[in-house]
Amino acid sequence: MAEDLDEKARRVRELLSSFYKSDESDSGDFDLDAPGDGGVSARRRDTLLQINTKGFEPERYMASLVRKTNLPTLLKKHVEVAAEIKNLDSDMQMLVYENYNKFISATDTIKVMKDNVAGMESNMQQLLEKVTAVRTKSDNINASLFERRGRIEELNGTRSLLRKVQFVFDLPKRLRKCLKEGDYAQAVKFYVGASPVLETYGSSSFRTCKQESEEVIATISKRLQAKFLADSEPLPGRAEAVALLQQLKFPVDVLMDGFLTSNMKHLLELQTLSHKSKSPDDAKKFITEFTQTATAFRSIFPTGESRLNEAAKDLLDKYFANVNVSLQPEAGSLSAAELISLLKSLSADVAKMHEVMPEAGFIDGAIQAVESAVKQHVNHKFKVLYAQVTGALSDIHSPKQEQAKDQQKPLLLSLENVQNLIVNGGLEVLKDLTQLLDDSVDFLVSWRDAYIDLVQGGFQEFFGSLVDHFISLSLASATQGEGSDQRLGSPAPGFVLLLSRLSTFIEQEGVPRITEAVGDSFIGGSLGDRPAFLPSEICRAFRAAAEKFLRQFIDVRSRKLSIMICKSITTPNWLQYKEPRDVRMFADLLLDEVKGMEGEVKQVLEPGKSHRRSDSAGSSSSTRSSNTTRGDSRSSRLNNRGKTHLLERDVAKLFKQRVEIFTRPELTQASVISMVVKIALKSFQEYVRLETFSRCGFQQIQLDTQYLRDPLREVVDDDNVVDFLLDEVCAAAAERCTDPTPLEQAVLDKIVHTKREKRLDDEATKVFI
Amino acid sequence: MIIFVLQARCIAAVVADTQRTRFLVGTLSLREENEIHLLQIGDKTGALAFDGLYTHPSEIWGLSACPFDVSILSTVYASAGEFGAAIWKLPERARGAANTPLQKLASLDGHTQRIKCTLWFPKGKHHQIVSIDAENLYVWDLDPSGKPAKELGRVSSGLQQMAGGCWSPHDVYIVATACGTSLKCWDLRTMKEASTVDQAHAGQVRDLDYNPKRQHTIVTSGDDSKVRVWDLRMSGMPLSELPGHAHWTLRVQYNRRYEELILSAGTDAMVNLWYVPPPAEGKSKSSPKISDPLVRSHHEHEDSIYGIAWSARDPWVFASLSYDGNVSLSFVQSFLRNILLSLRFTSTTSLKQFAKS
Repeated sequence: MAEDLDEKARRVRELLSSFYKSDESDSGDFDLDAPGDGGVSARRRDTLLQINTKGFEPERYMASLVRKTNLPTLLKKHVEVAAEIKNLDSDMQMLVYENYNKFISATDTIKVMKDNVAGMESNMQQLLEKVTAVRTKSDNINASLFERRGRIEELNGTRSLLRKVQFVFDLPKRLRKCLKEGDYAQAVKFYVGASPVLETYGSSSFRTCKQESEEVIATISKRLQAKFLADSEPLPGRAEAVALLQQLKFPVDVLMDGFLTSNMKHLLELQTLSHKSKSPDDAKKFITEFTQTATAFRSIFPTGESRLNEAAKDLLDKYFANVNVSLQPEAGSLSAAELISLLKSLSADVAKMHEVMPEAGFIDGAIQAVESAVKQHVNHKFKVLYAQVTGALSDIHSPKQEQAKDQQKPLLLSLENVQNLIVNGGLEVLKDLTQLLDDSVDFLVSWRDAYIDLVQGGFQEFFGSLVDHFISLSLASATQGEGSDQRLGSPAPGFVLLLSRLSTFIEQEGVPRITEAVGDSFIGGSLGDRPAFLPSEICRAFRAAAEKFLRQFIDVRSRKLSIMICKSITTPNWLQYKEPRDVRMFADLLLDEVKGMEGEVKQVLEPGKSHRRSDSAGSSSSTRSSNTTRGDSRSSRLNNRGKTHLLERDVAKLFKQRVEIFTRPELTQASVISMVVKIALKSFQEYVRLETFSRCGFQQIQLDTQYLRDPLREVVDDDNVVDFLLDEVCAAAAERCTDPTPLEQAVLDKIVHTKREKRLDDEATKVFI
Repeated sequence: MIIFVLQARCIAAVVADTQRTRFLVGTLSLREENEIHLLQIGDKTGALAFDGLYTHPSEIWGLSACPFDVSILSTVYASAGEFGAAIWKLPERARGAANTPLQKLASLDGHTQRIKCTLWFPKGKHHQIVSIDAENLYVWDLDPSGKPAKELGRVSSGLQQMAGGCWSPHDVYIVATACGTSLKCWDLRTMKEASTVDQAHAGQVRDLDYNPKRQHTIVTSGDDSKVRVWDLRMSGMPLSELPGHAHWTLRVQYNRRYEELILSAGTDAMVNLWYVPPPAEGKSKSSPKISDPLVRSHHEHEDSIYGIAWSARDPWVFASLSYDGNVSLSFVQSFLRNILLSLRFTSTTSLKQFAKS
């Protein structure tokens, strides 16, 4: 039955809500934009579904129903609708009944309330009357008591004052009693309580009293001080004494200072001792002492924390000064292992001290100290390495080379020496520094990145300054070579070549190896925008430097050869030259010079490919250009009278091997030597072109070039170049000759042959001697 | 654009002719008859063409055109032991005659060494001329009426061999000479050394030229293949150093109108055009920095180049002469022209920007 009712209620609610909802949607219908029911036309279409809405039109509904449905359905519909109507009727009835009941009960309640309120009115009236009466009476009493109250209060005040005076008069006695009993705390309490009175009236009525009590208090104070100073006294007692003294307005700061200075002095002594002896026991002693002192102070002066901190900081500064001294010995370098052990002990010590006094900033100080120590260590390492390398270089460079010359291959030795120094030295430094990182001393952890940066930056700086040093050395040697007389075998060119080789070595091997090693252990870092160690940059610098040095070497060497050639060409009077009988001296000198250079080059450089065709067309300038331009331009020639020999020369040139003269030098023996020889021979040609020769002069040149040909071919990487250039020299001489009749081949060969034999003999005897 | 002549060492622009671009080329031939070729850029073709041919008695080692008369030139010659320098006049061209001999106006006698070059008075019509041999510098007065040249004075350079010189266009009493490895300036009033740059090059200094706009700036070239720009007031360090050539750098010349352009030629058969921005005054670092001052290398030649010359009329044209007698005409690239022209108006523009655009 209850379910039934529930069901009914629900349905009613639904109906009501649907009614109201449809009402709402109706009002929204005027809004054409509103989505949903979709306006009047939509409703018209669906008239059959609109039965539950407000805008329901019965006629239309009926019409459409009749039109759209057949009879059975219509009948069925009729039954349905009838049932629904019935249902609705009963629901409505139910609703009305329920609401009616509620209304009736509400009316009853209101009636009862009305009756109750009418009775309350009289009660309230009574209450008001009574309260008024009470108030009048209370006023009366107050008025009558007023006079006496002032008197009582006065009496009360006098009484308390008298009590105080009594207390003050009794004070000396009490204090003495306390003193006898050793109850200082009580005494101090009394004194402190009385002291305002004594201070106000001490000069007049209570003079004697004050004097007496002050005497007693002075004694007490002295005894308290003694108690505080006595080390044997237990700490709480000392602390109490200090507290009492403080209450007596005794300057506790002075006590604190005294305490601290004496203790700190002691500590410092201990500490210096420990640093001098470097024994761990002493260090430990220092630490325990320090801890004890700190605890003692803290319990004695609970308010003096800041003072303690100050004092501790002071001590700390001195301590770290000592630490720094021991971390950075003036003489000799500390190895990383030593440094680590030192840092470890420091770390332990500081950790203990930090436990005792967290505010004193021990850790910060320690980190700073360690930082500076490590920085110095790193810098020192690099400095030492740099000094070693530069030292080795200046050994080669300096006049001591006289000794070195006695050795067979001075350059080779020093090259290897320096190479080893750079790579192994670099790796060693790195190893050393890695240790520091691996053992990860506590302090290092916090600035690991900075440390890595430091090491990387160290390398960067090392290599950077090395390049600078190289360049300055090369400049110095260059000016030396020019300034002083250009002795043959002057060490400068060889040294420059050495520098070049060294730079290439660093670029190609040294830096990659170091980079690899750095990459293994020093990853990360880079606090700045970019990593501190930039191998590519260094490599670039060294490559440029190597090229520069190589050029310098070639310049100096070829200049020397050119000067010899120049002298040989410009000195004789070629127009009145006598029949050539022998190859001139300069040719031998030239060969000697080339040989000397070869010696240097062979020591320092790698052999490289021998006898190759130079094919690096891009960077070279050729002495010949393509045939086509030649052919085309020839047609533009207007004046071809008597120029057959020129034409012949051009045609001859056409069929010759095209030869590149000025290629880019490589750092190999053959390339460097050929470069020098090529430049020298080109100069030869140019010098020859400036002269005018007689027949004999021309023949002399022919002879000289013939003699030079074979030895030079041996040292140069491309035979054709030598042939070509020497031919050019001969051709130039022929052009500049009034009567270019060459020597007969047989004569030429004979003279050259004998000369060569002689030279071989000379060399043999030289070696023999 | 290559014209064959005999072997030749010297080329000079006809400076007096401002209407046409003309060059004089002197040949160097021991066994043939030597000639002076007059070349001209054709108005229509834009290419070099022969405009005249004059015979010259001996090999021509040096050639310079008179700055005020189109038809006058001076040569330095030598042949088989003889040498000399003379002033010549180009004769009126006779139709039909292939070779016309030059008309000798005066000769500069008295040299005891091979003469290196002659220098005309740099400003206006003036009859002074300087000739330089390996040891001495002579100053001559030319008499226009045809009498022999009168020696006005001489300076000896001592042991250092002189190779060339340049009369200062800013101060007509100063002549700069290439003296061994150094650069020396002589004061013609006192006939004494005025200023020196010692060790200007590691080898013989071959050529030098005054900056047309700056009084104390000189460019030099030498056997160490470098090209260096000097300020005579600060002789310790060059203002700038250019890598020059692969072998000797024999010739170096400023463009007359644009001091930024320097032309150099050497025995490596190359002609290089350099762009050297002038040192900025006031703001020292605002001038456009260029990584490579070498604007262009001309590869047309096959033999050593002994002569270069800027056109007197067109600042964008220059000719070069190689030993085998090829004359090549070249032009400054248009992008560089644009830069230089725009620099005349806005001084701070980077070259790179222009190169890109």
